[in-house]
Amino acid sequence: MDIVRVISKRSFVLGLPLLILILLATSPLYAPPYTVILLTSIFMYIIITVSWTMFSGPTGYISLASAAFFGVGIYTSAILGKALPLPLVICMGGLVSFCLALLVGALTLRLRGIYFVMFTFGLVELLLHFILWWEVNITGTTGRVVPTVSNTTVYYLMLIIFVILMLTTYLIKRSKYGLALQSVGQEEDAAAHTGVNVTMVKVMTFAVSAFFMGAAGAIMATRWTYIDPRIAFNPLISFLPVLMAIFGGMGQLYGPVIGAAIFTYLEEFLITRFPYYYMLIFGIIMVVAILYLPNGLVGVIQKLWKRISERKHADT
Amino acid sequence: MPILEGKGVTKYFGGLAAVSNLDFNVERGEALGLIGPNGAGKTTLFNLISAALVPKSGIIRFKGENITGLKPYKICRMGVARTFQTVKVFPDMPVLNNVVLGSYFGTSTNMSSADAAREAAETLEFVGLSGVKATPAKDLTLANQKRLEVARALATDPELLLLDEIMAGLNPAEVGQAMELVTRIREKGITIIMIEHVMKAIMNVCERIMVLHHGAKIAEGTPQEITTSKKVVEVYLGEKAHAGS
Amino acid sequence: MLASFGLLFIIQNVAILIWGADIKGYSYLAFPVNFGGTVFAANRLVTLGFAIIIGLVFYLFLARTRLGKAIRAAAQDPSAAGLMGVNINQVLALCFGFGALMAGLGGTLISISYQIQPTMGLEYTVIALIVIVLGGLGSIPGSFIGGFLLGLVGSIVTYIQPGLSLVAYYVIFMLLLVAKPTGILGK
Repeated sequence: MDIVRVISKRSFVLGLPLLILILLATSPLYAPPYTVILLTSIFMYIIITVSWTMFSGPTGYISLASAAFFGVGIYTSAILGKALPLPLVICMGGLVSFCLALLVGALTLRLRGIYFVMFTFGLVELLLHFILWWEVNITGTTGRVVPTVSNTTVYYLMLIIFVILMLTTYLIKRSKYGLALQSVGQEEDAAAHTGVNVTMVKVMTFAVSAFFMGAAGAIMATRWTYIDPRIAFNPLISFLPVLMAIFGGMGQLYGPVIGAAIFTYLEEFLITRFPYYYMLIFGIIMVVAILYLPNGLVGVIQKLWKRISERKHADT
Repeated sequence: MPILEGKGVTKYFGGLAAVSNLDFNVERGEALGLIGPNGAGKTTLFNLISAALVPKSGIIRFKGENITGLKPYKICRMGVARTFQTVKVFPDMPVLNNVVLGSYFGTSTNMSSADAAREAAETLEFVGLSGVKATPAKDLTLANQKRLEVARALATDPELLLLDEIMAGLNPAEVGQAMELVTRIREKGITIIMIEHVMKAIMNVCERIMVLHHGAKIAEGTPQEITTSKKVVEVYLGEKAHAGS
Repeated sequence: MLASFGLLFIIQNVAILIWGADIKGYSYLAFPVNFGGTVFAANRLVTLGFAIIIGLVFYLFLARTRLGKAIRAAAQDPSAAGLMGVNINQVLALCFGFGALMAGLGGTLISISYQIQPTMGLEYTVIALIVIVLGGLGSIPGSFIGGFLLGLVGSIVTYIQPGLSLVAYYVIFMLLLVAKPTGILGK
């Protein structure tokens, strides 16, 4: 069987993801609860990583604010959770993050990339300190309790957000805005002189990516039940997506997905075996990936693919 | 009414006046050549017109409207397109996509993807790059990259086209092709301002020349008048024997 | 830049492995001193003294020595500096090393007056970034002025409303980005 021909067929490319989707959608029915929880965590990281790549991939502006948007989503859920139905809370979480991103973007995206990185880097600490101060001095309580929701519900919500995100990313990439985004990342001046409103393109894409991170945060809050600023604004959530995206490869749509999936699974695996060393291992993998795998797993897969196809053509 | 006019346009870099109190007019449909020694302020003037830079003082008007201080994308959508002295194609995008971007975001808003693709393909045909439409722009020769920039600018459907040294680095055959392309662009009714150092090209294509030196206009007139002007020869052209090369 | 963040994690976690994640502290020169009519803690004065000396030494190093000139040249135009015989890779490595050296010195000085824990570095990195933007990217005297100003603001804010100092720094950062991103002495 000619495997190259099979994989290149249109029906395969459409059929395989659909099959996987159906498997995932029905998994709570046949999979053990632990797997469902693991899958939820994997989805969380996939959502954050793909959202991050949506903006930082094409433009080259490295955002380190993911934890800030995620944390805002968590807190929105905590504050509104008792008052509003869950789907609305999730939308609100996304919306608040969206607005925050608009503000940050309008402030920093008209300047050189380095200001953007620095500002987003500090945003997490800023929000952490601010909310901590607010809770200590104004509301008098630290942390909040979030109404609980069943694990299955959380899983399905994450799955839905994941699907919406993948669709959004795919549509943007194929549209003229995706083209504009690429052009801004490759030659910003030329793009501006070709009629692209570069600031608007950058800010809107950044805000859309923040929306999804906020929505994911709002959902995950219900699983943790108790949250406080230090839990919600964890700088690790800003660094891990970068690592996962680089590891998976940012050239293709599926790169961040497999990067995040593999990494999250790896984390679960390492946490149980080496509870003290796993962060260290992560750091080392991060440095190695940045230095030696510039195109990530996608790059490796593409090279392999080329070699297989070439060998096929050499035979004929 | 001239399609482009500037009054008192001034730009400083630190203490140096790159463009100094410049007045200029460009009539619709003409081809104006902009020449002068390196550092005379020619590209700076382009940057001021296309709003890559903001002038310290002075006004620039396009079709009667004040465009000073507007953002570059707005000026492009009004009908001013340009190429760059250091070629700025989108390196990792195929040639066709480079041009499609111009169709999508230029003067006509809301083009369907089919129309934009068609217009881009026609533009590529016009400049002679149809053969490489799927090649990533970074893999083109310099001459082709310059042509790609022209195609991209044309795709925005401009009324005024600023060409910045499109013939620099080209061999004589390529220069001939570029000259022919400029003539064909003029036949479409597009007004052109060209910065060039290749004298043969600019003297043959343009009907009026403006000479800049240290940011100020030192001469303006027909190619005949410019090549015989003592001032210009002294400052820039050198002896008459070299003026033809 | 990303690789250096990876380094941050590695070093932080090694530190946690070796010394544990608890807050630690020690007492050093914690007695009051009368200076110019006001009372200071001796350790703060020592820190100030060291900061001034280290700053001056580094400034003189950059301005007067041959290696310092090489560093400044590399900062302004790496390729031209390379053509003039400057070993860019070596210079960059050295700069990174100097940065680490000063961060280490800074950390030691902080530990005299404050408690420490392995994860404290992140907050100070953010503050450092704001300082260099305030002073102007690429300007050493600017960083001095920026650090001084920010420290001043921080002390005032801590007096009025403790816990909001980082927020105040950020407000300054935001105002800076809106009004003058190049900073006080930046190009």
